[in-house]
Amino acid sequence: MLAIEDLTVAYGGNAAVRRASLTIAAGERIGIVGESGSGKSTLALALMGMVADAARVEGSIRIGGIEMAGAHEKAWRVVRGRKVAMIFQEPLSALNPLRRVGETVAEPLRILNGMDRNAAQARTLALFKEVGLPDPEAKARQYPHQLSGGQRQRVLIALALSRDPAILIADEPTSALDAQVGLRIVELLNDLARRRGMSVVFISHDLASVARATDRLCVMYGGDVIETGPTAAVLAAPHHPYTAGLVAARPRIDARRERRARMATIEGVVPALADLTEGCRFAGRCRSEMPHCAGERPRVSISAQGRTVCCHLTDAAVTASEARVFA
Amino acid sequence: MTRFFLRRSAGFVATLFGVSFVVFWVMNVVPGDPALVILGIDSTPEAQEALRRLLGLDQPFALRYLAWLAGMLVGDFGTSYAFRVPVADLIVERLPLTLSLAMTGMTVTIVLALGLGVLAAANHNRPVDWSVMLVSQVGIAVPAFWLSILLVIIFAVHLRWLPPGGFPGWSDPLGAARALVLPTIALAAVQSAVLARVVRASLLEVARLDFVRTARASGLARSRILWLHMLPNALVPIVTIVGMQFANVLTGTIVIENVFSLPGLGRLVFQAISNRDLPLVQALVVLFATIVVVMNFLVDIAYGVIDPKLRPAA
Repeated sequence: MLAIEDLTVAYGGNAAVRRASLTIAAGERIGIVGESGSGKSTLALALMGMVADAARVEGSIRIGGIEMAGAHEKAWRVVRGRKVAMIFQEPLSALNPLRRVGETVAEPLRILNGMDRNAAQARTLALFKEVGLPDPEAKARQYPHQLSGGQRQRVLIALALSRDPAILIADEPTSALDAQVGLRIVELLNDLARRRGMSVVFISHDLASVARATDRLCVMYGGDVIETGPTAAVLAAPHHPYTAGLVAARPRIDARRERRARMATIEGVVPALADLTEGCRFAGRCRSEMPHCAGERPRVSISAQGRTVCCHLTDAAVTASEARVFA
Repeated sequence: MTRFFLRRSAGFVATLFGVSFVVFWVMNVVPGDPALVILGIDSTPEAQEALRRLLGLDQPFALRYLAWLAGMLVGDFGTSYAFRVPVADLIVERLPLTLSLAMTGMTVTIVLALGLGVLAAANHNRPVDWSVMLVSQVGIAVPAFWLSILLVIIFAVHLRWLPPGGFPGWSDPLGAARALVLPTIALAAVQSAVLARVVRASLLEVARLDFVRTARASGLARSRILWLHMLPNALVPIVTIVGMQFANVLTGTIVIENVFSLPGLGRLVFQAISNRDLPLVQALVVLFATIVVVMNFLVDIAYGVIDPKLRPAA
């Protein structure tokens, strides 16, 4: 459905995403996790052709078999909303405050799908129902500020679904919501993915919701995809030291039993875009760092279970094997 | 809504009181005697004194102000010292020309500013943007009277396309329209230069908001997003400035009507002040203040129309 290969997105000379590769199958739910500045949102915007005009995009983005890297705005407009749709983090500011939410959802249907006013209206109400908005007729007449955060996010999901996209990108869809409301949004996305056979790209820094929302996981750090694999397997036994750190830093309820124990953290901060080096970008914070880590980018190792890791530790372990497969 | 209206009306009345008092007082303390201006410097002191008594100028300041106020309340604007006709007649005769000029001036200002502002914002940090900003900088810097003279030299004297000034009257609609073209351009140039900058800045502010990204993500064209999503959201500051500019345009007619010899209110204000024609000055100032206050009221109504959050609770 979607295949990214060697994708680099650079602002000036600085790569926010560096030679990332990732494939997403039809109906697959994939999570992209990483801290702020890891490149996950830039990657998502690249999939919509919506990186800043000044950004340089290299490599390949194939959507439904069509090469989109470097495509013009006109070509991207055919893809946006129809093949790939996106919802954003902040559901209040993501809606036009001057429009009734029903109009916001109906507009692309009228303008881009050529529906007349009544058909677009009927479809909007059906979508509102599908995303679980109570009393769709009344809600359609409301302005964004009259809705709750969860309702706004449902409106945005309805807008994203309106033109039946094959892939839905959700960029931190629950971060701005209460935990309970966020949980229900995750359930809704799971439901929609199953019912529609739609792929979901779920971007988050919250491992708990990612665990619930995705089949496969892609961990990013400093613009690099450093580990991919089935979500449950990656979280249970992370291969990359950074992923291991993330998993260890998860807040857990049973941690309270060890009264004095502090929550585990990863020392240091994500490097700024301008400070990124050629080598492994986790070098400097990594507990297992070796002398050549900072200077040399590790190769990607692939396991028999379809997991990938980009780390010198794994690389060293599989160097002997011609197939570059690790256990 | 009723409370909103009551509050605004009270503010309106207070504004008119303040404005009329200040003008009455200023006209009273500035040098220049109406009787002397009317009769000329060769007139006898006796004749001047007689005229002063006739006009009521021998009465104390406070009494004269109160008498004028009382007249206003019953719709009597008084009689012009210099023209010797009712002030109301003078104003009614000249109002259509000035209002037409102000309206065409504002319309051209808004159309030009929206076009240029949107063009600049859509091409932010590109040569088109820089050119628009440069032109608007020049437009702001150029004085209206100088631009008027330049326009007359080019379009009236050299090209002979349009009349250099004067007004043929409304019975000749084509002639009247032609007479208003150059004054309108002179009036709108500075205002549209200012407004274009406001439009551009306001749009660039809106461009950063998330809903613009949502609209793009749903596949809508950039031009549609710009005009139908971003511009309405940029309107509040634009409408505020337009309201203020309407006042500027009204005062601008004083200069423009004099340069183009147009028999409108702007020219009348100028003559009334030169003649120390107190009743006429008073009436005109109150009229201008009323128009400005009404304009600001309309701007406040417009906020509610633009943004549902700013609507007064029903």
